[in-house]
Amino acid sequence: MGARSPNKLLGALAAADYRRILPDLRSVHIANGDKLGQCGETRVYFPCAGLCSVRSEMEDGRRIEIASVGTEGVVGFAAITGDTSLKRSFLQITDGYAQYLPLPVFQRELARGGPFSEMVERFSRTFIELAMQLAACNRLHTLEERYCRWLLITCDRIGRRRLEMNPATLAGALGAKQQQLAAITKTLQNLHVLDVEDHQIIIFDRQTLERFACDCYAVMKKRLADASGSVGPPAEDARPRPVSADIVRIRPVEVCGECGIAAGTPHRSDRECIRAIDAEMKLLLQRARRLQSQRGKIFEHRLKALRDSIDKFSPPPFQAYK
Amino acid sequence: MCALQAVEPLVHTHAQQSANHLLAALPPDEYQRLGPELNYRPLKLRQTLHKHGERIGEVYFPGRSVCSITNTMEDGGMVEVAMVGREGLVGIGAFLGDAMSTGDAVVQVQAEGAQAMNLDVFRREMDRRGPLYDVVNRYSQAFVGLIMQSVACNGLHSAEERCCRWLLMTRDRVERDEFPLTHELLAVMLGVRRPTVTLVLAELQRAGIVSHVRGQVRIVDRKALEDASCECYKTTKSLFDRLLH
Repeated sequence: MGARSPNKLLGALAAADYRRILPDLRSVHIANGDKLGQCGETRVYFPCAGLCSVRSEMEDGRRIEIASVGTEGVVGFAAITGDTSLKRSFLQITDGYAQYLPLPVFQRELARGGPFSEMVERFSRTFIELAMQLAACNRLHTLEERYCRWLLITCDRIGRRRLEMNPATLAGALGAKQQQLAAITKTLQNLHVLDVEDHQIIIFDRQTLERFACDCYAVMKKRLADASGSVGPPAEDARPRPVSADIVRIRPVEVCGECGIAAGTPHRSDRECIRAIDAEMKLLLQRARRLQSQRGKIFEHRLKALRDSIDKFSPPPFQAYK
Repeated sequence: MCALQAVEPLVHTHAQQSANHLLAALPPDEYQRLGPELNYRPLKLRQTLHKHGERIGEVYFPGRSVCSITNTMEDGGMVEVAMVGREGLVGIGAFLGDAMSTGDAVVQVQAEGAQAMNLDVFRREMDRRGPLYDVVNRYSQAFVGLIMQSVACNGLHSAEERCCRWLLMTRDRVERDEFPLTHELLAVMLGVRRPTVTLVLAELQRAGIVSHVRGQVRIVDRKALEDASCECYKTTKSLFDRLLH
């Protein structure tokens, strides 16, 4: 195993240092959706291909992604994930492989100082900066913006426009309900920004997606680029882009779990649901009336045209002989 | 509550040393050696200690005060991502190998001043890998844990829960049940609109948990406040307790 590790931290090790840790270094293939075994407990992982999503779990079982780590970093040591006692899950979001070291070996290497520990420190710094941005974003931006931001960042980092994700994993990334994300996905599908084919999300229109995403995308992309050098949009797909959409702004879609009506915030009581349904019905009735009148106008128009043509082509009225 | 009481005696026996827990945790001779490098700085309300992206001049070891580390968005939106009081230091960026500040550090509740250390001295001390390095290193882990918890909490929990958490965290740091607080400030810290804060505080007041009169908030029923808060308070508190004591 003379070749350098694809992981940037391990790759930066001097040959002698790499040789020293080599006996303890193991490689493991990790499939999409797998958890990293014993990560943070007895092992630290260095992703070599693919992306690892670090998620925080709450007592009520809700999850949210707090960071994602690719080949530029390391997952599972205390300074990065806070502490092992906090409930975390380390999940691979794309097929890939990683190398892992036992935690004591990693700590021994850090304690030696030198370029390796400096790189780990620099990575920690980027990691913290991203987390701070994320903390603010999670609070201040809407779910739509965050969803678009997450899709863009994730696709950039894995370098593809296709994401294999089951809805539960996706919801766990954003700390949202599956139905909420399904509604936004539907809107984006209608705008031909992306498409979903059996748990695969395919992005067609990055530019529109970037417009929908919050500023955090640009900020985070820059931080990542500063840290690792090469994070950019993946190459354009050969697929032709479907008809472009005129609508620029998505309506805020957050669907009430009870009545299924789109609302800014989910309804708190049946009363609010009934009101929302009434409002929706009123809107639909108005729309129906407008459509009916439109239909009436078209009919009238046609009828008039028909009469005109009959008038034109019909023989002149019978004239009695004089 | 119990954990707090357990901490108290430790603090008082070292009272002649420092109000800051990190400095108080140093062996006496080490603290004596560092003494000349530590300058007392009074803190003013709303004083900005570090600005995002600017060079850190001094790191601060606050006493019973609260500094917020906030992140400002390009559109001007702002929210608190971490809180530093007597248990830590302001300027963790200096520990992480770069002299640039991450986020703005602003004094929010001021009661005691801080002890400040020049950046170069701080760096030198970190390179010595002495007792100060050990405590700062452990604090940095707790600090990262706090930020990570904020990421999750900001994404998942309601304004009510986070408001309770903020009050509790502030209370632990100033160690008083009463401290000055305006609705505007709390709104910025929580990243919500001011009317939301007014509503939440009114609700807490009606429930007899806090009282808020003329810019002073007083925690009446700490237990109830803990129950109303999200789990993040207990999670981060136990993390800090374990790593720093």
